[in-house]
Amino acid sequence: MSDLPITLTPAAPAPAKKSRRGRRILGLTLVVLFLLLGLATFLLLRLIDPPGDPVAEADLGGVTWVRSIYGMSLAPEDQFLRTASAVPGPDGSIYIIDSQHRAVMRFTPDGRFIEMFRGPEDDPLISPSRMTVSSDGLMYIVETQQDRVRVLDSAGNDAGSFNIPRPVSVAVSDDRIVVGSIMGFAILDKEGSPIEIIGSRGQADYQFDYVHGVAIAENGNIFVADSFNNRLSAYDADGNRLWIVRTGMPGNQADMEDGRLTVREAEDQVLKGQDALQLPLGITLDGAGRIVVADMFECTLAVFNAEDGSFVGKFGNVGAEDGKFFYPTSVSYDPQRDWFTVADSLNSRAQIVRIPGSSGGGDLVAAANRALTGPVRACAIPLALVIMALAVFLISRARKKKQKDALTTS
Amino acid sequence: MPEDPVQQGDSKTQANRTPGPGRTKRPSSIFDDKAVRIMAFVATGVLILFLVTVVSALLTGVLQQTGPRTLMERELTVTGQAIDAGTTDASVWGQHIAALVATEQYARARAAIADARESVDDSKTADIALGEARLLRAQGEYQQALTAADKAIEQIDKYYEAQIARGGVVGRAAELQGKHENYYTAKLLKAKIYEDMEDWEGALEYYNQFIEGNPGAADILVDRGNVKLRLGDESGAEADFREALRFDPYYPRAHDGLERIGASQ
Repeated sequence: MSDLPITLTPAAPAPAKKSRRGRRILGLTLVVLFLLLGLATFLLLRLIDPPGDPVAEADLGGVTWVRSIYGMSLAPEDQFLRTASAVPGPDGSIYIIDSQHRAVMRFTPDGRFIEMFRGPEDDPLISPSRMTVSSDGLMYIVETQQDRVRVLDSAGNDAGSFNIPRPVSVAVSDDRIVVGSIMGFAILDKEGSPIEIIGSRGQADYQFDYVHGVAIAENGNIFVADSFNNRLSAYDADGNRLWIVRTGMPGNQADMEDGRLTVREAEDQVLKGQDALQLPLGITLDGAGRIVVADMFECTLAVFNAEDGSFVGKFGNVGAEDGKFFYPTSVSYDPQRDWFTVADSLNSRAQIVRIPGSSGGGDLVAAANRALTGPVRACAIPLALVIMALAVFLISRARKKKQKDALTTS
Repeated sequence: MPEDPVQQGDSKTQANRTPGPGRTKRPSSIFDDKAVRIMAFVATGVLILFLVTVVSALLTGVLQQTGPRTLMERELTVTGQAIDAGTTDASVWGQHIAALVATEQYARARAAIADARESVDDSKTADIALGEARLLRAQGEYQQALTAADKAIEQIDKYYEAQIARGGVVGRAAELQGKHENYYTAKLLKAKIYEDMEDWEGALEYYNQFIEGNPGAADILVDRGNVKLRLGDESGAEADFREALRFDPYYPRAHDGLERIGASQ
């Protein structure tokens, strides 16, 4: 070996080597990798995407279908038979009552079953129908046959009950409970003591025939669906009536005369034609402060102005496909996600749907909340990683540039 | 004299790069190429992201499923489990085949038809024959689909006649009950197949036969009205749209039909 000194060549950086072979190998590897990842992603999406093509929105009467919940598991005995109530909880959980199971079932917002509540062993739920969940997680469950409203805590333990003759609906705010019955409605404090009881059974003014829907606004106003009289009415927090409208032909104005059933026309102003409701049942308030009513027989969601009860529009179609309704009995609104939970009774399912104009602003937050309840939430961590990596890259590049500038200056 | 820091830095860097006494030259690698290094980084990054996404999907429960999520998934699940449990109910098999066809799982539908033929008696309700007709229609085999639908009609007819011929209570019951509902379902399917084939005369004939047995079917009245429009029979179409509105006064398709022909509503 020669002992020639090695001369250090100064400064001029060596040009980057180009390796054709390396580029080919890596290029090919990248293509194969992307193909494999594409295939894996496709298989994952197939796993996430349920079978069956979604129905075109045009056929859904303006409703946007989010998802359906059919049962607790894939076992036939765990499927719903007649859903009576579907309401959101404060954390977005969906509580469903099904007459087949005589229990309250809780699901995640993306429809996964969590738990079932049957009430305490010594006093189980017997015939739960409608329910609501308060902001502190208490479940208020109507048992019409037992003339009472049961209260269960968030773990399903007994938290009391109060007796009301023939209750058929319930709503809760921070300081009030409103219970609809077959003959009117009662305003109670949170202990269950009556503040005001309004109505008697009948067809006249201040009479009611099955109050299947009650809702409480943020300002304390109360909205009532008087089902068989086909009327909507609004009251202030003390029970003073603000307005009343006839939303269609009453379902109780037929009399037997000489052996023939004769339908009496309503004498007051009645909503007619396509605007008319057939049987208003469940009622809720959306984010825009509008009243949304489940019309059981027309299988639609009807929207009314909360200020005066004027008709705004109708959404939905009758049918068995996901997004259509068949005898919907209850409707509730989740303001965090801007969607409605509907007990689609004869389709034996609960549906989560959206209708236009329901949000009261905060669309982006609601959209993000909705996205996080779907499969997209699996991408949240990788997205955060990408953002972090980008941030690290940009910071280190900026530092290097700063160092280089400092060296150049000195 | 203090050393120039820039010179010092440069010489250090250079010393690291260049083999000195006692250092061996690093063999050249494909990663010496900047483009290759970038590609390698991208590939590693994408792979890591994918793996993180899968782990995230597992942790967040996206891949966990409890109950059915769509109508079709429920149909497939419930009927599938009944079949696995050994049901001999032809209508369950029929529903299962219909759900497989609706979700475009044609190979599985074909296999289910073969299994059903070995497992159940289809002579009474013709569910399996109807399922086959549905499958063939979905696959665009219209002539074969018509033949399968005809077979279903023939099966139900034959069973019905046999029951009548038995006389007594059985015959009387058959008379009262009439032919199984699948008889008209098969006729309707034939009408739809003719529509797919754009054979409007054929479609009209079978819509007529279906409506004869189901005079209150508003949706089919509208379908027939639309076929009549294709055949240029505006007055016939108007009559069908109006008849549909008699059963469902707010039926949008019927109103659309009247609007298209300019009839008053």
